[in-house]
Amino acid sequence: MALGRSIYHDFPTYAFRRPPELDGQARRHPVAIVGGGPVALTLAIGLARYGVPSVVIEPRDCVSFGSRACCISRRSLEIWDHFGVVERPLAKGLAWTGGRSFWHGHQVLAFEMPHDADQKHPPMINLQQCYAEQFLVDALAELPQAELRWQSRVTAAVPHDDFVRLTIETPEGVYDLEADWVVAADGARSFMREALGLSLEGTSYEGRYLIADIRLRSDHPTERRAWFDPASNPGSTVLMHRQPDDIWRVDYQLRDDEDAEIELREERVRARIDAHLGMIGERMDYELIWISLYKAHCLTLARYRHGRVLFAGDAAHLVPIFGVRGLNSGIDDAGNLAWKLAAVIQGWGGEALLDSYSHERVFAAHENIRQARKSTLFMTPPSPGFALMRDAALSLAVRHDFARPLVNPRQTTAITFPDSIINTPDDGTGLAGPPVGATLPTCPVAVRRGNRAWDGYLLDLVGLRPAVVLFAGDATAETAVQAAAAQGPLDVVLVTADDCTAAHATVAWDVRGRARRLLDGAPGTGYLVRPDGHIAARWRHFDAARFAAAHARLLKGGD
Amino acid sequence: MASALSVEDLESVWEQLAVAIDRAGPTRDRLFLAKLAVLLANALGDRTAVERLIDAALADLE
Repeated sequence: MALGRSIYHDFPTYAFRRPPELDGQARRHPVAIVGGGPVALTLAIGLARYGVPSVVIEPRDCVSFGSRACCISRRSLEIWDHFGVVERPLAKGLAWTGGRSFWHGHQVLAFEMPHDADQKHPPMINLQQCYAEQFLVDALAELPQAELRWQSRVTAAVPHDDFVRLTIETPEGVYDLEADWVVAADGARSFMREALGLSLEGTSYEGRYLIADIRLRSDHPTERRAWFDPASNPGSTVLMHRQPDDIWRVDYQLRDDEDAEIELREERVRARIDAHLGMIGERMDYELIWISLYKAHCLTLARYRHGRVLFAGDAAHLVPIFGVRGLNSGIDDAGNLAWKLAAVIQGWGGEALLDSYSHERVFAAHENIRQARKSTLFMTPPSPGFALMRDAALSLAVRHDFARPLVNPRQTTAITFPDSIINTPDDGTGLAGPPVGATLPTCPVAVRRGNRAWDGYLLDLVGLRPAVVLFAGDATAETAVQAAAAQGPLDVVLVTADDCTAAHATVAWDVRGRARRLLDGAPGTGYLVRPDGHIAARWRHFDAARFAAAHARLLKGGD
Repeated sequence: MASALSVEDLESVWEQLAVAIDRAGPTRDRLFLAKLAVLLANALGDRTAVERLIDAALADLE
């Protein structure tokens, strides 16, 4: 809830625009996206990059209120970059690489997320969700293929074999909309889930966290800080994150014996924040601008594809806040789904790709839940046993390195799909470097395409179609992949040790030799990379038949 | 479970544990024991053995 007027009120509101359906001009839409949050918007932008039109249906008349999910991972930034919308979030967000945890005045952990000079993007930025959404809304407005319908609420959904009919309530009346495909990205309280008679499965935790945003002038750097059982809030855990505009996120755990209704009162929140800021030596006055209550859930749908309805984001899965896998896993859903849906609609991929979306992203949800559950047990111990063992781990971590992984907040990282149905398993020729199903690592390269040249990053050379990243020096392999690229959707990226150009390929001149080391590259070594950056197949020695089969499998969505 | 410590060593450790529990005090003895369990488990370096010992310690608590 908002406390007084703040920067969170300074976002535009959007008038209702009468759609043609209300005047009897119905037409079939290729894609309707239910919900207008960051997952829906990312997907609509991704589809628009492919030239696939979509209509986004959102009940509100503006972006969501408050900072909500305020940590954006490198993987999410890569997806936004891929869709051409990373610039504004990056410019506004605060980059960070690590953090520290404290217990009874001891520093028990200093962690760093994976980061090095090869990376284009920081491992994490902090950016209030309302900004992220507004940037995406603004980007969407510039794309003629995507239409955002504000003040429009889906009140019925009837799936058919080859389309879905949605009933939409608006300020000017009710209309039906037909779409070939519907993506349900309508959040934790998804109407679409209910309409299809589906429920989330898993565990909900009792532990409660109060989230407060304060405006505070402080020179403290951007890092994640956690205090366990601090003198300021005995028995509780307090987290602090810096956000843009001098806003600080303070999260603290409510003890089981504390009444949420009382603890949500402004004077109670102030008292706790006063005590905490006093303890850490922040002396400036602050303004309390937004508070919210949070409970941890480990829930997912069993499948994300139900005929022509696909679920994404919080509508599909809920993961605990710790480790920031909520919004980030939703953006990952959107990145995974955009190219598959575009491929099916445009006819260059098989419908089974959409089953692979469900398979992969349900796997990711379980992986996210597995990690976030461990963090939840640590952050909000659900029983005296967990509370005692948490304290034991903290106490040991003061001076024992081996115990520190127990204290680590397990921040989100990119997920590998080892068993995806569109992967081609290794042929056993032994290749170090990222495995099949992982995301392609990036590094700086000098790019040569036709007569253009620029300094770029390897991952950026994976575009809207599958790409083969091939190490130069095997003429047979080069001829074969170029022939394949002439036949179907495939881009060729030739990694070279020297500056050169190629007639039918983008050249990634591996100036620093980083790509060769990261990918264990030798002449003919290659990786078949999906548009979302995941590796579908790889090889030490090129085999034309195996490559053709892997490419076909990737496009078809399995065997 | 076969004895791995000599009787003399076992008696000595048993006594030191009693003293340490008293030193930790009634509000911290649980924390002390939990820490010790994690330290011993790490020193043992055998997950299955630790799991067996957890079960053994849970037996006959009444």
